[in-house]
Amino acid sequence: MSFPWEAIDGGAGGLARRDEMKPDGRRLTLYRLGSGEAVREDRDGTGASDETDAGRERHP
Amino acid sequence: MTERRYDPTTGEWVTFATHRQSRTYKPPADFCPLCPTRPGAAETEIPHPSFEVVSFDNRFPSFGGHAPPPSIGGTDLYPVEPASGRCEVVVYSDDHDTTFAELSAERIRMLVDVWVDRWQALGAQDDIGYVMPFENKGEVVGTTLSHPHGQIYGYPEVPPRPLRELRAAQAHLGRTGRCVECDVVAAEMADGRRLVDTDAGWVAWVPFWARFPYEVHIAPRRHRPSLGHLEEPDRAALARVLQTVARSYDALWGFSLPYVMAFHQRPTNDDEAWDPVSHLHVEFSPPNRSADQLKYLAGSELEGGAFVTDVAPEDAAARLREARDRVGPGLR
Repeated sequence: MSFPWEAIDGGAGGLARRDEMKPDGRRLTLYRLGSGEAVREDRDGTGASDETDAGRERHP
Repeated sequence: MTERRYDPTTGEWVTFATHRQSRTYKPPADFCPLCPTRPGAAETEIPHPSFEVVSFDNRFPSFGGHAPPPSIGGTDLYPVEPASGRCEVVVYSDDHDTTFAELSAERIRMLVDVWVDRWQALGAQDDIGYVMPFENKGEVVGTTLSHPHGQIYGYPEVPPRPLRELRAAQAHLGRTGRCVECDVVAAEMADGRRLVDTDAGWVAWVPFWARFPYEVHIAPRRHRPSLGHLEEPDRAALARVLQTVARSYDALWGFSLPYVMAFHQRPTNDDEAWDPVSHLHVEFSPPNRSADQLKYLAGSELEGGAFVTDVAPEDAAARLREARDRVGPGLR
């Protein structure tokens, strides 16, 4: 099952969220800095930080 | 057994969650359920090899979205209800060995956004009347998992202590026409003796009436009813003040100070009606009264509801300011 990242803080940068469902039905939400490019470039799907995270400039 | 039973002698509900007796209890670091899932290792609560911040439904909730029917029948004298609500875990970092105080300003700023997001998500649920993010830090306040994390409870209605605050605020508003917390913030700014940290938007201080010797409250200078009312630069400034207070605690006696930290804010049912008397604030309640002595809740506090505090708030604030200054620059 594919879980998309969703920008929740608007504009460039900010916060992105990805809702998942655990096997027992519980919600799990990953949060990461960045939206836009950072979300689209999350190639491994882990939500882990990377150097291209556009949102980092938002939170110095 | 998960249910709420009503105490007709006090007018308060007590929640029973007997399944929590079997929750994970002080596991060794290799078996921490809040760590990321390492390749080849057993899956933890977070099935990813790394993460920044994660929120998930508590495996051992006190309240649930699909609460089972009560195990016992209620009466007019003893009402019983399903324990409806939500219990969430917020994991601050994938680093098992860090603490909230040691997080970067960037990460704490991110946590503020996460708390806002969860407040909005939980507050939108019809069966939730009050959302309280909190952190229990340290074994002496009952923490069973040392991995840095907090919790968020979505209560079915306003819990007793915030309700007492709101009723006191309503009385103050009726008497003066003003928000009591706005008046407290202004009084502390004018007095100065109990201040721990200030900036253009926020104030941290030891309350005039502190129940715990090193209790600290943090509130916005302007009237903001809830986390959901915070815009920039309020959010970034809150992160800075939270970090300053947490690091000052650790500098106070040179060890990672235990505490209970909680957000008090506007109820999420009948929400706008509460706006004039709801002033968002954070309360830190550390149990220590000295480096090696704890403040216990005993006869007067537990049975009388009357706190007796061992340290003058003005002295506690002075010591915390000294600790803050030892932390040094770099927080802002």
